[in-house]
Amino acid sequence: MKKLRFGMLIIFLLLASLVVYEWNSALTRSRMLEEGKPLPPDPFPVTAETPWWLIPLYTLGNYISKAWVCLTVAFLIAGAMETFIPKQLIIKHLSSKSIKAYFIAALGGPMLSVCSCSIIPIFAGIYRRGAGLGPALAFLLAAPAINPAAILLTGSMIGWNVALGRILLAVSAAVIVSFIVGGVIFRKSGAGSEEGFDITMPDENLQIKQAMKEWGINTWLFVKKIIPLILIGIIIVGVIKVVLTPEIIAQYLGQGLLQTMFASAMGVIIYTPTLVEVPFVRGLLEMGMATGPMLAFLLTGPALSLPSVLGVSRVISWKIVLSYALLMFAMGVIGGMLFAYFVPSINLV
Amino acid sequence: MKIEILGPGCQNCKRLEEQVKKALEESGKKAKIEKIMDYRKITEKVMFTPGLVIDGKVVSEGRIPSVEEIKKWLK
Repeated sequence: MKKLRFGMLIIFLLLASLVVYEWNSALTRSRMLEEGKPLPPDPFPVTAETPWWLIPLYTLGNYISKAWVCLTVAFLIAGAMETFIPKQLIIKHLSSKSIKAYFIAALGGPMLSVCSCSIIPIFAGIYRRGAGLGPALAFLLAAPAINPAAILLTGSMIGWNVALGRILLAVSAAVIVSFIVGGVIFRKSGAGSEEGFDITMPDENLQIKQAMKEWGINTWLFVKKIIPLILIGIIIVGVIKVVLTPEIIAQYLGQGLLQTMFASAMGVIIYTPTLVEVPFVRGLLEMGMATGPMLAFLLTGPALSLPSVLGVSRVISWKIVLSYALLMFAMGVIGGMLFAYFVPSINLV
Repeated sequence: MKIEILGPGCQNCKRLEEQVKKALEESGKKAKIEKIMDYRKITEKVMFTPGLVIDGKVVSEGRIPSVEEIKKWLK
């Protein structure tokens, strides 16, 4: 277990340094506000005179200047999880069929995979060879929404109350939906396997040099995959800023039940790769999106998309897929309304 | 020899394919590389992608092995 311990230490140190950094910059900001000093302006302010074709580029510059520290740490943590945490460890606990398995699947899921493309095979594995349909669904729905990198970025770019709301509501939504679908409606299909997993733990001896190299490669692969997607997300927000007015955004994504339903439905359909939802949502918030629709989108966006739903229906029947998609939509609406009740508005920094 | 690379086609699978090609080149062996991208077929064999299967036997899953490791499996 030496390798695991070493990895946990690295992840803990990275998290601690990020907390110190965030704390410090929040403190500086509040001190400046108290003393009545103006906050430093965006490095690339977007004004009425900015030519339209420069707006996406300016938006990009502003995001990167705000988020680069958090993004770097998030990538390093994601790489470390991939390298140091043996997936077998979590899977081993996923062969029981008790309600505990739902929570292990929902909370441990993010440790298994940061990459959205590897989620479906793991889902199929838990479904067929392990705890069965319910816990497999809990994993499928929670893993992309609460992975540590996405949570860190949410806290840093949108707000720590949103990050916390996201964790609590995403885990509840995943457990409730998967229990209704897997434990009640489709209890008979996919009961999993009685024997549980036949798992051999890998060789755990730590070779620092090789582990560090592997960590570096994994982090780099993650950066290479995610950064272009984040850029595309930011450019789309830039285009939205040019095309739509704040009035339109306030009308469709302002506070309210219909608006929350609209945002939840968008989240179910649109493909939002891990981490991309954060700059995307921040851009919409700047334009006047309210907290209810925001949380609804954060709940359903990463968890579901048309491509992922089609992928999953290669493995399980489309009736099950349709049921959990509809239920997740409903949970998005409920979660959004709940969050809007507790946090009616947020101040972006 | 038949080598199968299992994965839906993301970054990790592409990198695994590069490593396999390098290993084949360095060891001077010939093999047919097949990419398995259908989820149903992937999940019959492995749970963690990318998966590497040589002559029907799963040799690694959920990580990208080094060229040296792959060369050992090719023997």
